[in-house]
Amino acid sequence: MSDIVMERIDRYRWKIQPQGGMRVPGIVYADDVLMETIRDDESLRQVANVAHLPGIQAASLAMPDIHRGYGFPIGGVAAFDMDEGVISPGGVGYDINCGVRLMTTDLCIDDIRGRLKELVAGLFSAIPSGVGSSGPLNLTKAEERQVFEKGAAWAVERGYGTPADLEMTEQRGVLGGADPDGVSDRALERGRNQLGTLGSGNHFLEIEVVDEIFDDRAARAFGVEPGQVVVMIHTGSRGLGYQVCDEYLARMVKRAGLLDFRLPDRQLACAYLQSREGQDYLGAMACAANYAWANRQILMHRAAETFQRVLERSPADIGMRLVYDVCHNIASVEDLEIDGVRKRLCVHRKGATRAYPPGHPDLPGRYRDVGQPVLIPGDMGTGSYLLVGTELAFRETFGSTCHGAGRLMSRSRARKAGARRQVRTELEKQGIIVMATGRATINEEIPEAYKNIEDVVNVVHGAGLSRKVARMRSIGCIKG
Amino acid sequence: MTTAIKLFDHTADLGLECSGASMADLLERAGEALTGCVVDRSDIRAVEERVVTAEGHDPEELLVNFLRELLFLINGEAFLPKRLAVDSIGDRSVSCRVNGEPRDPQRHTPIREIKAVTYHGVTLEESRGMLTARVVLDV
Repeated sequence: MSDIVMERIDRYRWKIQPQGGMRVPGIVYADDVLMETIRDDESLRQVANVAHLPGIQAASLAMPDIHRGYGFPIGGVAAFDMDEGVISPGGVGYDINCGVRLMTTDLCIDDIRGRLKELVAGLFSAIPSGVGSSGPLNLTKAEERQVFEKGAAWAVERGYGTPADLEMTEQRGVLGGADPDGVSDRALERGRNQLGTLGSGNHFLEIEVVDEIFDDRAARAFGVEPGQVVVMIHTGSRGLGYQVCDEYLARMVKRAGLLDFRLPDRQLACAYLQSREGQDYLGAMACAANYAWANRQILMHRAAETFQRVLERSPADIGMRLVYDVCHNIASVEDLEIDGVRKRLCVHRKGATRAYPPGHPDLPGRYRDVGQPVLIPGDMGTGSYLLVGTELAFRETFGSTCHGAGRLMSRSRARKAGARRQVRTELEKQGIIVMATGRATINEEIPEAYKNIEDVVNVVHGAGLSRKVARMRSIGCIKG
Repeated sequence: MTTAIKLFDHTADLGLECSGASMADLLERAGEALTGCVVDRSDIRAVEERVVTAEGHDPEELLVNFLRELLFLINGEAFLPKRLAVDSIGDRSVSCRVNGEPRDPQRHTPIREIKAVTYHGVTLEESRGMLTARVVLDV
């Protein structure tokens, strides 16, 4: 049980009043049901810890999928002043620019029903997955540096997808300020042969069917309709990102004693944004973020090729089109709003998604009137959500919303629970074909290991941080 | 040497708890435990030797940094440790010989991927001549 005292603001909002060294309050978005489990978790203490960091603006925020991380909670959002604030590698996470992309197709469920097993097997063999998986792209160091600087555009230049895809990617698939010199030889080495791979853990590539539409206008703008086959990809910057985070975190831990404030947790190690360490990390983090965008761009192309090959149809017949690509582990410099005033801030979204409102200039023309598509992957067997960003999120949460279902059960408990059952067979009975490299992965990712995604999405919808557009159900999934 | 290794639960991650009669002993056991989280250690043969060195401002940081180096050996260089033997150890540094072999996907079935060894909530306690450490691994 957490010793943090919470005050209820309304049905979906809870406040942690500043106490001790907290510079701002904490705000947690949750309903009664979700708060039951959040209360038992160390994550509320972590929300309070983040509020200790210098330059933090307005409040240390937590989305309803919050769970205990290391240092920052997962589901945490914190924005910092550019002059007085800090940047923390732990506030981004090890998997820099872990994110999601969603593609629609011109296929309906009947077009693939008899070929689903073949399609999943085709994806499983075309897309390297699993622990330390390596891909067919063996980059030279010079090529890898280009990936760091160009992001998704690097992949498009090499024929993976089209320039139109970049329009439909957060930040157009490239974070500015990438500094390849700030990436160590070790990190370069780890990234060299992992571009175009899925990885392991909760990462996946999924075939889904649109089950329900909640918002016709937004769904039309996003090109989504009931019964349509869509594809979702969830992965990030692979070993390269882990190595970048690991090294910069160690560097900041080593220098923690030299800071003019005390860290409540070593893992919150950070550096002032204007310091050399802070700038170096931002430059290296951008390299990893851009690598992740290139990675998802390549995987999307591989998925499209597999659909064409297995279904023996032309690219035009498949009609695979990128709806949007979002990142949910990032620190990003953005023009945001506090109390109605625009201000340039460095926002950390660790297990949280950007959710820009209608009219925002960064959105592609096609979505300008409805808002940014927000992609919320569920767990195996429940499905995923497509939401849309709102004006309220821009005013209240630095344009951010939740990122997923949020873990409830530890991996070891889930694995034990899963080991007693035939998880794959259970899912197949529900019409979901799953292929994974390791059985432990499937067991660790059993549906009950996660918070109910409906509950999480209902909170952000109810609180007005984003609105429901469509729900998709999983029919085929490949995992690491 | 009396040692114990156990895994404890951490919602998104995995906790490692191990004990040793000395810091050197503790680091060796912790290294073996880390390897055991990644692959089945009984499948690893000791055919090659590597050396891992690490530094830290205090014993906790030294422990985490040592395990970080070892994890780079496993993930970055695909070398699986079978046996560890600390050669020299001071308050702020350690050098350890690692016997093992390059990872062979045919023989070494992965258990899970460990992304990182974190500094989050790391503890090191001494009780009745035994050192016990707890470290959280990011999975």
